[in-house]
Amino acid sequence: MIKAYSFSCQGESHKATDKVCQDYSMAVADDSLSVAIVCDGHGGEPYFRSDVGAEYAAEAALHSITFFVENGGGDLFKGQPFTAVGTTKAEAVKDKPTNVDKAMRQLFSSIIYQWNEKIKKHAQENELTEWEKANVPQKYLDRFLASETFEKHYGCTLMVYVQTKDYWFAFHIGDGKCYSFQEDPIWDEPIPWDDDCFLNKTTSLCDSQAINEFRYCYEGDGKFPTAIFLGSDGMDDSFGAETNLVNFYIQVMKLLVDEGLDKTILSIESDLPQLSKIGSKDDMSIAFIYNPEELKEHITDFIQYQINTTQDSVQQLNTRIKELENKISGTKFIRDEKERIELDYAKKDLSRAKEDYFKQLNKYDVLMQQLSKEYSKK
Amino acid sequence: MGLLDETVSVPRRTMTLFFLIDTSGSMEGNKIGAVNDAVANVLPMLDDISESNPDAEIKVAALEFSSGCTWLYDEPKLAKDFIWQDVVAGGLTSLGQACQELSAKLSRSGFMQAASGSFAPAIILLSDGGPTDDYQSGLRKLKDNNWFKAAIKIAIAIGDDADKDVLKDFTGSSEAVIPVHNIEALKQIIRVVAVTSSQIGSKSSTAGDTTKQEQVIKDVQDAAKDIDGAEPADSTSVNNVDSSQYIDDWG
Amino acid sequence: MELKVNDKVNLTIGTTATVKKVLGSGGQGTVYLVDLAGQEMALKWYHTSPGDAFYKNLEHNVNAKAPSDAFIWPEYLTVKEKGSYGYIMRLRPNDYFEFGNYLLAKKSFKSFDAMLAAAMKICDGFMKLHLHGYSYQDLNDGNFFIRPTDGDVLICDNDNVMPQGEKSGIMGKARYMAPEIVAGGKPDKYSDRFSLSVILFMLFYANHPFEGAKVVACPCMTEKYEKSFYGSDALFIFNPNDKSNLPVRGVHQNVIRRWPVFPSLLKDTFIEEFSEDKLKNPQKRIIEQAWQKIITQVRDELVVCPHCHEETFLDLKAGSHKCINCGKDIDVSRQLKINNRNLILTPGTKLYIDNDNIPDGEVGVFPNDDKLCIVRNLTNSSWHVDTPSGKVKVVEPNDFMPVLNGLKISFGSSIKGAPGAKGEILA
Repeated sequence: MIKAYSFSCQGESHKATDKVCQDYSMAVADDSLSVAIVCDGHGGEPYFRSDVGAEYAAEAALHSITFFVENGGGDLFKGQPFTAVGTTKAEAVKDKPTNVDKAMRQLFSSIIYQWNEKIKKHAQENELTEWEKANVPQKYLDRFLASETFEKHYGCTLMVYVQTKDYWFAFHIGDGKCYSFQEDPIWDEPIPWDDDCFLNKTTSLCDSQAINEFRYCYEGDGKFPTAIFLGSDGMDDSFGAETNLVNFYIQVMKLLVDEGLDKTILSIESDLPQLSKIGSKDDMSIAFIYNPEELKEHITDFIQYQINTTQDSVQQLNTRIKELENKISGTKFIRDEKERIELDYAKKDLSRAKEDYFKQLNKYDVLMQQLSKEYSKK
Repeated sequence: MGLLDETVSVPRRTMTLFFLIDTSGSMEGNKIGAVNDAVANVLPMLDDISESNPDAEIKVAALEFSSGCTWLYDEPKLAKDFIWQDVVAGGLTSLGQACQELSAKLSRSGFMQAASGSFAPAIILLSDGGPTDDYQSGLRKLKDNNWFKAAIKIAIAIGDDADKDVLKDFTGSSEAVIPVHNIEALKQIIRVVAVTSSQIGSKSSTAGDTTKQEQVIKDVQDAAKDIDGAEPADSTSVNNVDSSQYIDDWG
Repeated sequence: MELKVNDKVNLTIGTTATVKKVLGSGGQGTVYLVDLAGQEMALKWYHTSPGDAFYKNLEHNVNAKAPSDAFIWPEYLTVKEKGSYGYIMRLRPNDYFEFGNYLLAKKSFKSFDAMLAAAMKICDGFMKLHLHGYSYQDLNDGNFFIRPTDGDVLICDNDNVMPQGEKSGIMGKARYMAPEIVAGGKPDKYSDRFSLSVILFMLFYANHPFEGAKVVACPCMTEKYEKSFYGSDALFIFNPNDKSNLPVRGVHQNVIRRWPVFPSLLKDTFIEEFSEDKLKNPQKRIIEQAWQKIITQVRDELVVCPHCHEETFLDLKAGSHKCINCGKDIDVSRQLKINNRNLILTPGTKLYIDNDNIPDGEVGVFPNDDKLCIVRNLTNSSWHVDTPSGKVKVVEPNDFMPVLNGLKISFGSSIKGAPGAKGEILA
C-alpha cells in the first residue's frame, strides 16, 4: 500500500513581515493513482499573489493528471524503459517528438490553461487587499490593475510525481529538486535539470514560453522508485551540496521505517521551520511517496550508502591532515611575510580539518549502530 | 532519532567577492599603493557585514593580472581570515588571461560550491589601461559562464588611460564602470563598491524586478556623486558630408 | 523487407542502384543513400508494398517529371522485388530543415525576408502541382524542407501526389486535413488549398490555426477529440465572432507575439480563409496566385527600421508606421511605385519586384551622405531612368541611383517575372 505525505511551512525570513508561505504542496495515495506535488510561489514584490498561484498550480495539475490517467493518456508509457526528456527551448536539440512527447505537451498545455483561467478568475473576483495596498509597491499594483492575464502576479514553479499500477512519470518547471531512492542507483535525480534555473533565477508557469520549459521522465517497465522526494528550493538551498540533501532524505526514510509515518510527520513539522532558520530562511516544502514494504527491505542499503560516503570523507580528511602537518613541520625558517601568513593559514586549516575529522568519525559510529539495529530487526 | 542530528549537515550559505586587480607597470607608484591600502582596510568592514548577516557569509578571492595572472590564495577565504598581501606593479595587462582564469574558477570544480545554497558572486575589476592580450576570446568564454552571468559586476576605471569600452564590455553596461581621477577617489570608491556589493550580494531577498547589479550600480553612483574625482563623463560626435552635386546631377 | 548495405535494387530502366547506408526511416518506408552509375541518390523503399495502383501512379509521376525544381520528385522506379518496391530521387542538401523544426522553434528563419521567400515558394509549388492536374494527398509538416538563410523550399514525399479525384489510401495527419477530409471526404485541389492556408499560417505564426483554448483545455487528446477539433467543430483561434478558442498565454506564445506584427492584409486574409463560410464551402477558398499577390504586398511592407536596423512590417492600411522592435516612427515618404504597389524605401531594405525570391534591388545610403538614400541594381541588366529635367540615366548592374522624387525607372528585361516593368520614385 503506497503512502504519501506533504508539508509546507513559512520561511524564517518571511516571519518579520508576516508574509504568508508562498509554497504549496499536496500528496495523495490511492491504489490506482498516487500524486505528489510541490509548487513554489516566487514571492518577490511583483508576485504578491504567488501563494494563490502555487495552490492553483497544484489543483490544476491534479485535475489534468486525473483526467489524463483516466482517459488512457498514460497507456503510452506501458512497457517503456526509463526515459528522461529535457526542455524544448530554442537551444535544445532533440529528435522528432515521439507520441509520448506529444501527449505530455498536451497535458502540460492543459495545466497551463487551467492555471491561467483560475488565476484570472481569482484576480477578477478579489480586489486588492488592505495588506497588498500597504505592502506592495504602487507600480506592481498599477500593473495588476492594468493586466488582462495576471500571470506575473501569481508566478510559481510546479513539480509533480505520478504513480499508477502500470507506470510512473514526473515533470517539473522551475527550481527545487526531486530525488528518487531505489536499490540501484541508491539515489537519482530522475527529471533532467534545466540550467536556466541557476542561483535565484528560475523558470516559471508565468513565463511566456512556459510550455517549452517543462522537463519530464517516465517508466512503464514495471520498475518503481522505493521512495521519491520532492522539495522546494528552500530545501536544497539549506543543504548546499546535493549529497547533504540526499543524506537528509535518507534520515527521513530511517524515521519512517523505525517510527512510522505519524511520528515522522511530527518530526518534519517541528524540524522544517527549524531548518529554514539555520538554512535557507526560505519557505520550505516537502512531498513524498513511498512503498513501506520495499522501504523496510532497502533501508539497510541506504544506511550502507551513508556509511560508505562517510568513510570516503574520513579518508579525504585524513589525507588533508597529513598534508597540512607535513607543510607545518617542513617550514623550519620563515623567510618572508608571505611564508608567515601561509604557515598561519596551515595551522588554522589543520585545526578545522581535525574538527571535521572527529565529526565524521562520530557520524560513522552512529550510522554503524543504526545499521546493526536494522539488521537485528530483520 | 530526530531529523537534524549529527548525521545531517546544514552548511552556511556563502557569497564570494572577487577582486580582479590590474598590476601592470602603469599602476606602479601611488595607484597600486592606494589599491593595497584600500583593500586591506575594507576587509574588516566585509567581515562585519558577514558576521551580522543572517543570510550568508562572505568569502573573498583576489586575482592580480599583469604579464600573467595569479590568485593571492588558492581558495576563497572568509573575510575575517583574509590577510591582504600587498601586490606589486610591473609588466603587461593580460586581461584576457585573467578572464580565462576567472572563468575556470567560477565552477563547482573551482571556487564555487553547488549552486544550491550559494549566492551570485560579486566581481570588482580595477584597471588603469587597456588589455595587451587577446582579451576578447577570454571574455567571450567568461560571458558563457552561468556564475559570471548572474554575478554583480562593477569596474573601476583608474585615470584617463583606462579603456572604458573594455570595462563596459566586461560589466555589461557603461553605468557599471566607475571612473576615478585621483588617488583619494580611488580609495573611497574601492571601499564603497566592495561594501555595497557585499551588502546587496549577500541578501537573499529578491525585491522587485531590479537586479542586484542594478541596485549596486544605483547605490555606488549615488555615493560617487559626493566623491571628488569620481564623476562619470560622456561624449558624442556627429559628422556628415555634402552630396549636393550628385543630387543636382540627377535632377 | 529492409535492405542492407551493398544490396542492389533493379530499376525499370534496366540499371541497378547499390545501397550505401540508411538516411532515415518513417512510417511508410526507409530512405537509403544509393549509388546510381557513380552518382549519389536517395532511394525510398517501402516497408511493405503499398499495392499495384500506388505503383502505377508512381510510374506515371516518374514519366511526367517534376512540376518545378522545388519538388524532390520520383526520378526512377525499381521493379517489384524482395516483396516490395521503391523509387529513386535526388538527395536533399543538409542545409535544409524540416518544417516541423521551425514550429518547435528548434530552427528559426534568419529573417522575415527568408520567411516570406519560403511562403512564396510553397505557393508556387502548389500552383505548379495543381496546374499539372495533381493533388497532394498527405500534406503535413514533414513534407517541406526549408533553408533558414534564404527560405528556399524543397517539397518531398511526392509519391503521395495523385491526379485529382483519386485517393492514395494514405491518410494525412488530421491537423493538416481540411475538415471535409477529416469527416471522410476525398482529397482534391480544394482540400489542398485549405492545407496550403494551414501551412502558410503555421509558417508565419508557428501555431496551428485551430489550436487555441478549446484544444488545450483537454488534457488528453483522443481520436474523438481530434475529429472534433480539426473537423466538425474546427474554430479559428482569431475568429472575430467566437472568441472561445483564443490562443493561450504560456502555450501559444509564438502566435500571440507574431499576430499583431504582420500587416493587417495578412490577418484579414486568414480570418476570411478560416471563417465558417470557407470551411464549409471548399470552392470559395483562395487560389495560389491570390496568395502570391498577398505575400507580395506583405513583402512590400517589410522594411529595415532606420533607427534600430531590425526588420519590421509597416501597416499602411492600418496607418501604422511604428517599428515593431524599437517602437519609433518610420519615415514612409520614400517609395517606389510600381503599378498599384508601393514599396517603402529605407536603407537596408531589399526590393522584390517579381515572385522569384531573388532581390532585384536594395536600398542603401550614398557613400558620403547617409541622409541620401540610393537604390542599387541587383539584377543582371541595366535600368533606364528619366529624370524630371528630361535627362536619361543608365543604372548598370550593381550600380546605384538616388532616391529622388520624380525619377522614372524602366526596368527593361532585368526582371524575369515582370518584363518591361516601370516604376516611379516618390520622395
